[in-house]
Amino acid sequence: MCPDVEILSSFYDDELEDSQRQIVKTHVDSCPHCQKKMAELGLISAAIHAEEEPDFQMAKVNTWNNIMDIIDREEQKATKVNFWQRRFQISFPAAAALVAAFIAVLSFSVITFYMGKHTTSSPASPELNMTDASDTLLNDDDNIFDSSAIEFDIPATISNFVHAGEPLLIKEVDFRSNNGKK
Amino acid sequence: MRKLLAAFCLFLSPLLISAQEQPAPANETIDVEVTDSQIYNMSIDLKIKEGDIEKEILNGPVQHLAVSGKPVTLKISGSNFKAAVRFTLYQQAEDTLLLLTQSTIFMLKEGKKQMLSAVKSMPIKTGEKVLFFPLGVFPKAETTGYNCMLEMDVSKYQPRPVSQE
Repeated sequence: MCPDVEILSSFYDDELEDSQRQIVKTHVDSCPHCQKKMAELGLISAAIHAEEEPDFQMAKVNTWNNIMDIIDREEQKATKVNFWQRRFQISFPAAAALVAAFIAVLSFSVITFYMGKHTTSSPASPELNMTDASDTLLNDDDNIFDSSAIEFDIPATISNFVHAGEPLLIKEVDFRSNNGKK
Repeated sequence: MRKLLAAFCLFLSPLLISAQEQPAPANETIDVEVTDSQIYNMSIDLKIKEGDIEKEILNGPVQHLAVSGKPVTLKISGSNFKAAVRFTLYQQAEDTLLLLTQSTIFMLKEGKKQMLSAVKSMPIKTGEKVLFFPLGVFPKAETTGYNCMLEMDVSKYQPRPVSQE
């Protein structure tokens, strides 16, 4: 009695145990029908191996590479963040130095601005309200001429100065003699 | 971090540019050799006159060193006037000087503001007393109101005080 096709196929693939393989081998050697079946199995096996694609390994590699590319792109998309949404990390000393520098520059700018705009001037007497022109021009004299001006402040108790005319420059001798006080 | 620094530098750049645009100080130091003969000692005293009566405002005259050609500025502040007077001495000969006075006066007169400016010059000798009336001189008859007078004495600069033993 011949073994069925499955046993023959297992025999052909060398998948049987030693005892079974020996029995089947003895039978196949003596049975032309089973030898024919074995020949058919050989043809089928050869056909299967012949139909295998020669570039299968290459296709596997290409497919894997494509998958890896897709994964990389997805990861890059996930990690790429908009500039304004990025979070910066800065060490505490650097941040403190930046803040200190900012405050110093701001303070210097403000002080410079106010020192330039508000120059101190000697307070005018309350009766003379000519701050619009006289103070400006008199203070400008500081810049044009000697900055170490000698200042005379006449007490407010002495008031009512009169403009008698053109300034007079005269030697004391001549002045006293003209006024009869020599 | 680099972007933060770049932003900080961008913030600072206008300040730095504005700081650079500030004009250089006008009073740059220039080394000029001045001999003692070009230096004079000015003694200036301000007196207030009411008619013929003179009142001294300060306890004594103000001493000031003046260099030939360099003005000495005085500022006088009164109740109804302000004056800037500049005395400039120009050396002409050994003992002869040209005294130049420039005066700018701001005065309230009958409720109106007036600006008066004048230039006067006079040759003087060292040791001579000179009077300057920035507001002019009263006519003799007029006695109301005050006038101010600058009394000035110019002498040669003494580099070392002479001992008074």
